[in-house]
Amino acid sequence: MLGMALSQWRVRLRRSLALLSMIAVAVAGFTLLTGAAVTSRLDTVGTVAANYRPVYDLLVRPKDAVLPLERQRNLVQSGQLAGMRGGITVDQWREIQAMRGVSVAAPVSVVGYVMRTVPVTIDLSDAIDPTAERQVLRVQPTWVTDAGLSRIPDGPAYLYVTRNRLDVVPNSELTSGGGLPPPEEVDADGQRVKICPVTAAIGQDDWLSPTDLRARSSLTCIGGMGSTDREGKAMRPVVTLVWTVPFLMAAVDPDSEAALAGLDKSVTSGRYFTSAEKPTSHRLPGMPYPYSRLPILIADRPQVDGALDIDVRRLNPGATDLVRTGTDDQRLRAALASESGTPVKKASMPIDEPYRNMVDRMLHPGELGVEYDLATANTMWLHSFWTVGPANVEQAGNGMRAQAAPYDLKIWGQGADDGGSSRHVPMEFADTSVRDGVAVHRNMAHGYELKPGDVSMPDAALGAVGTFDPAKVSLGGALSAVPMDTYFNPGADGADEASRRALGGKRLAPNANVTGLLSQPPLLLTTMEAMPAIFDPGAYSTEPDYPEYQLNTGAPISVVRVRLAGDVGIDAISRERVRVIAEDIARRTGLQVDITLGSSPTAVTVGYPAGNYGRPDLAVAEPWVQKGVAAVLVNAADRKSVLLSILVLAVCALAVLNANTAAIRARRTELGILACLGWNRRQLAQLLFTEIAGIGLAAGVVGTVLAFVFALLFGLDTTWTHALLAIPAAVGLALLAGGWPAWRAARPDPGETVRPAVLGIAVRRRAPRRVATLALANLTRTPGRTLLGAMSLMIGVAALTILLAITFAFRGAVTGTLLGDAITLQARTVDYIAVAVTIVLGIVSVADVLYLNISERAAEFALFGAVGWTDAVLNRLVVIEAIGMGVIGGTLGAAAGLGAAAAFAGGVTPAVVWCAVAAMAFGVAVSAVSVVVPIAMLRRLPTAQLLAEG
Amino acid sequence: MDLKSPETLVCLKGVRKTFPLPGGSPLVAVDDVSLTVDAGTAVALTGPSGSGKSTLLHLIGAIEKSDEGDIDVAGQRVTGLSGRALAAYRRRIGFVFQRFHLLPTLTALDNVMAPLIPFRTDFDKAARARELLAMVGLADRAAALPSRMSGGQQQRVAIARALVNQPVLLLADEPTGNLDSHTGGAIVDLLLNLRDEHGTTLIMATHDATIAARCDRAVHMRDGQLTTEAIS
Repeated sequence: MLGMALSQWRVRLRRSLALLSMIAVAVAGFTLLTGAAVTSRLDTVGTVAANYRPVYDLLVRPKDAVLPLERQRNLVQSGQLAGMRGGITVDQWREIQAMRGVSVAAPVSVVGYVMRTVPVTIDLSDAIDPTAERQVLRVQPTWVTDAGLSRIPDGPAYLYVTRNRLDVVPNSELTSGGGLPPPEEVDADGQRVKICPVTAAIGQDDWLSPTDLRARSSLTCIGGMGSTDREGKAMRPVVTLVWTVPFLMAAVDPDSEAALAGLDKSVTSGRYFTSAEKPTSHRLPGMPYPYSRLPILIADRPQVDGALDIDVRRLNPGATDLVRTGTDDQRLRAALASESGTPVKKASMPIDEPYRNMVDRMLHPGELGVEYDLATANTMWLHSFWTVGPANVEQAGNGMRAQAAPYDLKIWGQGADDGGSSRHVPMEFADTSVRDGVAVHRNMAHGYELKPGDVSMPDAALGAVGTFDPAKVSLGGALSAVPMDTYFNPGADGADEASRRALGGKRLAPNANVTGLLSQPPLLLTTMEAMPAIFDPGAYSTEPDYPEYQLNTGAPISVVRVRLAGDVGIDAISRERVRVIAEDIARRTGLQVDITLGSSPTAVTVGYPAGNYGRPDLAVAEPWVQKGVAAVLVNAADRKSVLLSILVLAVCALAVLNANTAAIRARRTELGILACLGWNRRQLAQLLFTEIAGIGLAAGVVGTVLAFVFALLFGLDTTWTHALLAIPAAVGLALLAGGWPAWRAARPDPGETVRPAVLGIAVRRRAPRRVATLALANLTRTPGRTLLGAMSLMIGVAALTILLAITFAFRGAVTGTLLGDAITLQARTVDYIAVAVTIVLGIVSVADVLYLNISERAAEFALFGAVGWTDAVLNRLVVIEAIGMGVIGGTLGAAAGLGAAAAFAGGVTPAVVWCAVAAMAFGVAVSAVSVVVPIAMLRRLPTAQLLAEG
Repeated sequence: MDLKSPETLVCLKGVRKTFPLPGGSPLVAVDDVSLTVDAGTAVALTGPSGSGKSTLLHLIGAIEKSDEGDIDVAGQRVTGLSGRALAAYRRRIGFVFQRFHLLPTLTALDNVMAPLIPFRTDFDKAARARELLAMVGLADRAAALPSRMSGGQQQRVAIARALVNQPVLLLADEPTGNLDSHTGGAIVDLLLNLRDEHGTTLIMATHDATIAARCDRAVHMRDGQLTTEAIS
């Protein structure tokens, strides 16, 4: 039997080698691809696992803090701490903290904005014309923010400089209630001229918005030699601008923050605080009640986008006359505003330096004597703080759009046209607001009644214990950043081309406008133990007195971030454990619990209306968080690996089945003769199985070597052990795919076996009168073979459709998220290689079918040639047959792919249907490629011999 | 003999054809053959099996290419033709094979039309095919598949197919070889009638002396060479 098999291999050497090559390449491909798929899956899972666990596993929020968009798209909004008004009680936090399985429960209680100011001194020595007897300089400050898109002019500061002496009444000689006398310029001829008139008393009717430029301009006069200011110091050519910073203040639990985010490790000066640290009690002389000094940790960097541009002009000489003749400060400054001048100096300064200066002052507050002075910005009294509501957004498409929400800025304090003392809000406040619900909370000193002579001060103040660097606080890597990041707001990129172009590739970052879209993270942190000083009834009262604006004294905590005890992995058991604890928290507290484990940052497009100072309407991609990304990724990776392995194996089996069927079919006569000679079915089957198994074994050995060589050449991960799998795979494949045709051919019916296969063709209703119809008719002559070729291609097309569909569905589920993008890129290559291999095997199968068809119909082709058909016509005949198979295979493949995609991805979208159509078109196109070898074979047909032999 | 006389349709001069054999000297199938055939005549190529009759027909029909020598048919140099010109030449020649070579999936009518399928014509292909089938006596078998026809009927269909392009030359390679003598005789009658009624030039390979005797000329071949020529 073995001898006969050997002689078969030898006699039909080319066919045996072709079969062997096909199996060898198929199993080598299968071995390599399964290896690569496993590696890819491991990479995917590895990447997911590495980024699976953010610093906290659960995010607990009040139910009403969840936007509809979050529920719809399984998202958690990010960076909205500023707009949260609490909703979680201290008891609820404690309950969560005490729950079994919870390692850390870190609360954040947003207090509100505390305004601090710092003087910015502009030295104009180099801008003064030393030859001019008198001159007026105008310093025009402009605040630049929104990546340079917004330029917000502030009120100008004027400096009158004379070489003459100025006489001012020193502070020590001022009399109470006598008003502030203006300085007098002593001219060379001894004449005294009153300059720099002082603003008359401002009545309540004259209050201005704090961003009104009239309330933000100033006039300073300095004289020459011998001139001193009211404090007796020599006059210097400087103007002082006031820079105001709104600090978002929040209370945290220091121990929890240390455990969760390593906040204690990020302290850059001073010291960290402890959870048990309560406000210290102090009393000033003359104060009838004690005040609480809250321990404060200050961010050592501002985390807001802003710079100050200075434009200094020397005004035309007529301006000096205005100063010397003006008797009314308001009218004088208004008149100076319209004076033109010559540019003499420009400067730009980032805000980091004044911010550091301010932080330094807060760390080392001055003496009581200067604490009243707003300009020195070192008072630490907590007279008032402000809260703002969430961004006023409406859902728009897949994202949102912020709506302008104008409000009366006087809630921040009154401005007055009194020479520049009202710069207690940042000028950015004048820009568009998209938040409403601005409220001020004023200290009530717990209702102490003051008696005459008492010092009236708030009963709360801030006591800085240190600074921290927000960049050093660890809240996870880029792929697994968490929502409600307490320490960092990364800003938002442009979401469309126009916005990206407008932003010049920069990122829109939070700025000093606290009612803008993006809010700064908390810059001042205090302890939960300090909260009663603020949230106790009687500590602060709220304006406007609406219930929804009131401090949530009963439930001051905005979010609680929960980290579970022990290792939490990516496995199903871990995920289930997290789910159970999340549900437990939700059940016991009634709060919203989101599982942040396995989440990844994603972008939500938010429309941001144009600003008042140059910022155009923008669409920005606000960083939110997509929940459950990791699980989707791992499941998809698992499903894809299994699916692709099956498909590669299936297409291999079909290719081998086709080749075997054809090989055995070519031997029908020989087998029939053997049957006539008395061989029974078992013996015939044994012969055929021996032959095919032998070829499979040889193909396995070749496949092993091929797999290993290709692995080495292309740097794929494989081992000899894995490569050796090609041998059983090849034998199994050969027997499986070759077994059926062998068993059929071994039927002990010699008559049927030797009967020509093409006899008994039924008469068709319509005769082929064109090359195309003839080609299609040819496809039906061996329908089984045509179907096998088409099915091989079908698998490739189905694989492509499924991959595209999964990619789309997959992208729908996870793209846009950083982790999803990283994994999608990582997983794509091997998937497409696998699909390419299935398609190539499909092409080989179609080519094999065509090859066999031409072999069996060689005489026909020879006849067509003999009667004058051109080569082009003969080629067309073969190409149309190939395309016919391509259309069948492509259509079936696309349909199968759609069905599988619906099963795997949970539905079919129009995009997936288009993918299927594209995959089908691709299948048809590549089927045409398969004609290359058969047509080459056609060229070599021995026409004369065929016609002579028939 | 004037090889280029106006009546000469086929002119072969020093034609040689060899086939390579594995591990040995090549087989000389046609060896220095010169031959002319006048238009409207029937020439029989006789000789034993392997004498080179079929190869010579294949060379004239441009199915094989000669190694040496010139072949002119109807004033056209056949040797050296390739591509479209070769295909066009083949359409001017009719070929009848011993084994018929009918397409098993096509009816008799479609088989006759087969050479025309890829081409546009200014006549009705089906009408011409029916006409030819009628001419060969198979008008009533137009819809039959080859598998439902006798050998003689199949060969008639093959002859009709050979005539569909109105060839200037009909080449028949042992047209009766697969038929019994009675049927074979009828086929020969048919072929010779074509000569008589349509002036079709016929070159027919046969090993049957009786058939050869009915032709205008009989040319005998042995070992690839023309040995004798007899005019009937």
